Amino acid sequence: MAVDKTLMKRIVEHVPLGEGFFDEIWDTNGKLRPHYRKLIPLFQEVEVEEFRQWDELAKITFFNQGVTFNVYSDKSKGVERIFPFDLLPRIIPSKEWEIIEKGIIQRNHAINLFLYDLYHDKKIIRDKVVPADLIFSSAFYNREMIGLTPPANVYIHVTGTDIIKHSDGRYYVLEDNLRCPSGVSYVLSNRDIMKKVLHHAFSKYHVKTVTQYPEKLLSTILSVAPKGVDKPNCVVLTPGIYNSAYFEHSFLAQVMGLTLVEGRDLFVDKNFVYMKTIHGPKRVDVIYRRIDDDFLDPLVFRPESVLGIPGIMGAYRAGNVTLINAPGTGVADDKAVYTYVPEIIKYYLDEDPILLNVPTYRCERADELQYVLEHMHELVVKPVDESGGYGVFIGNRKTKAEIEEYKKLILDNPRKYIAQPIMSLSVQSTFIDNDNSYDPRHIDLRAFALMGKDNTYVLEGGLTRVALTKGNLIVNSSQGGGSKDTWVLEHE
Amino acid sequence: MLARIANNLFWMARYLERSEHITRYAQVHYFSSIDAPLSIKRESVLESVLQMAGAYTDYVNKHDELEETQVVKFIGLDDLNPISVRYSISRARENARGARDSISTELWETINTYYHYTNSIQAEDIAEQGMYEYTHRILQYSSIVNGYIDQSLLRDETWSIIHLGQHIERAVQIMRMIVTKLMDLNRIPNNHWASTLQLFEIVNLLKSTETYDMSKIFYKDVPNATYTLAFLTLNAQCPKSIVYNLQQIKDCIDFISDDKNVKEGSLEFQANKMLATLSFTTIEEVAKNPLAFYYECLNQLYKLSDLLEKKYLTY
Repeated sequence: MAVDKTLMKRIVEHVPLGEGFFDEIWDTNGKLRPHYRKLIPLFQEVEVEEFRQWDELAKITFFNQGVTFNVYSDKSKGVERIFPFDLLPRIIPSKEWEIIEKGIIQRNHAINLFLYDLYHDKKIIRDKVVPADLIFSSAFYNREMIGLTPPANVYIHVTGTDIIKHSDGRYYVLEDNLRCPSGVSYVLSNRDIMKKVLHHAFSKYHVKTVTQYPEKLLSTILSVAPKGVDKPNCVVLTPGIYNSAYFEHSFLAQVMGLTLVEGRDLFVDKNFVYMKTIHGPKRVDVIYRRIDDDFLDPLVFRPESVLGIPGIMGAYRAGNVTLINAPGTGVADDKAVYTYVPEIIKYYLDEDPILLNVPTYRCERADELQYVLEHMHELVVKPVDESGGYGVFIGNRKTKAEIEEYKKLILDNPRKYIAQPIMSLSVQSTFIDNDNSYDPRHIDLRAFALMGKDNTYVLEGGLTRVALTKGNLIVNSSQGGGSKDTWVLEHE
Repeated sequence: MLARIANNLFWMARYLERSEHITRYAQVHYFSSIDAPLSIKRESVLESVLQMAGAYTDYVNKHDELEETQVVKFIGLDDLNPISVRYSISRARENARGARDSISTELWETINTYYHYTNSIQAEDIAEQGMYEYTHRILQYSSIVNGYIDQSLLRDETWSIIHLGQHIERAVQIMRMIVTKLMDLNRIPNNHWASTLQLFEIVNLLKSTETYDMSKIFYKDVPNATYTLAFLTLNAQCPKSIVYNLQQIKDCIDFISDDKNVKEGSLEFQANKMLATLSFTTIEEVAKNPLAFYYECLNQLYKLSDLLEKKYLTY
């Protein structure tokens, strides 16, 4: 007997959300937004069993490619799991993307000038645009960088800007990740798998490619080689196979054709860096390092670090090796310094910011601290020096006792905290395993950008991260978040 | 190439090769024992498999009796037994993961899938699906891996190091099989069944080394101990023979080496000497005291491997 599909429950349906939410797919009247009109019917026509097959194919592909992380248990070895991935892509219309792209280029340009200034003349401090205390009290202000000019004056070669769409439909920057932002390998893997599983969906759109990122990254790396080096030997430096981002490190090295090294593979002699090859030492010219500043050089930073290379900062200062990103960039993505980015853009570029900052209260300022303490229940409070969603306090989810507890932490060290209104991250339908259907979940976007000697590039896609727990606003993978492929349209 | 990466690739290849030979040996012996001549006891077949894998002592230290299910678990699935197939593939995969940037995507994904397969199989699965399905899948994965090593890698130092690992391990495993079989043959009582039992063991050796069909094409005769040893040791056309593998080992070392002058005691010297010595050895010389001959060959090969590790793989 033929099945009447109109009677079947569709796996994707509009779920009315009420005020204060921005649904990426449906408008407030429950109508599909124009850029989703060709995609959603594909998901509505499919039966759960068939969808499960797509989902299974995607999972197996991730698993076999080794895009996994280990969950350790009492067994002798951990259990491998894949990062949750949702097959319904997030679509960004070309006009919206133009704003994001221009905004990131503007922002990164200004921040790069800011970093140069901080480590040279400090004009922005002398002009009292940014308070000196804020900079010099930052754990990421790196005194080794004072007076040092990296090749082509580039500090932030690779960035990953976290952007949200608020309930007002506008994009806001949540964080500038300027140290070793991770996640780009998932952008490429997600797209690769989507093309295998949902190839028919691509034919309905002109989706911008993400596949050129490795070549763009390689040319960025090559462009900042030390002066006088014709054919630079470039490497990717990883903490090792047990690091949670090892897949990404090995992936990037492999797709660029560069050697993946660990600290123990390198040594410094007379201010030059060498790697230990089977035929003896070979000079290294550029290091795309995926270890934090603190671990880079045990002679200068943490003496107990076994991940780093003793003497590498000496080689860097002598101009014999380039580090990507430059040490000391973290001072500009300190969450307290972030609040000054609009002023920083105005100061160096004399332009208004294209992308908005989330309004932020700095607890180090007495008046703003007072406001924060009085409005804890309606604010998100964050430590300025943490990442991965750790230490984030969301006021409206907390009990009175918890609020009082957190107030004490803030009062102990006000410089460590900033507070922001609870931004309503936009929602997009996400498949929920237990329900066998799609349900709205909050999402954000990590957009990756590159800056080389003469080139800037924003990856036309990015990583859409999704909080899988209903109502949760923290999308980080370390907090159980998943991801989606991000489609930037060539034109509507 | 980084010395650490060379070390990873070398051991990746050795572990992959090791698991293939142990699996094939176990498969051949398991199935031949099903309809073996009556005087071939099931226990002696299980003992032969354990001996060949170098796991007999460890097994008897942990188990009271030679029992089929326990032996299969010990050789195939034991996470903690350093010669088990699962352990070897796990090590091969970890080494490949550590050298992920040096190998092709195709090779990595096959090794990774291979690992997930061996890791997912439980004793109950083997009981349900049968030994054939399990061992056949492993041998299939081995073939695909070998195919990708040959078809998806540049002929450079990476390939040479992987090939060195493969050929050293292959030569070691072939010799271990020969030694085990020589001991099995020595145990055959001298009665009217002797020739049947000898043929049984010799065919098992040829099948375990994947040379049964090749040897028939080459000799066009009924297998016997002398021609089997000659084929597996001295035949330069047979890809499993010791002399063939020594030639590959020498070629790989020549490719990697930057030493113009070969000094006595060096790696290059050892590789050339082993190959030259074996090339001018006759089967009659081998047959005088075959066990002593193969033990000496194994010692020389271990020495070569040590020299290789000291020269290129230490970091």
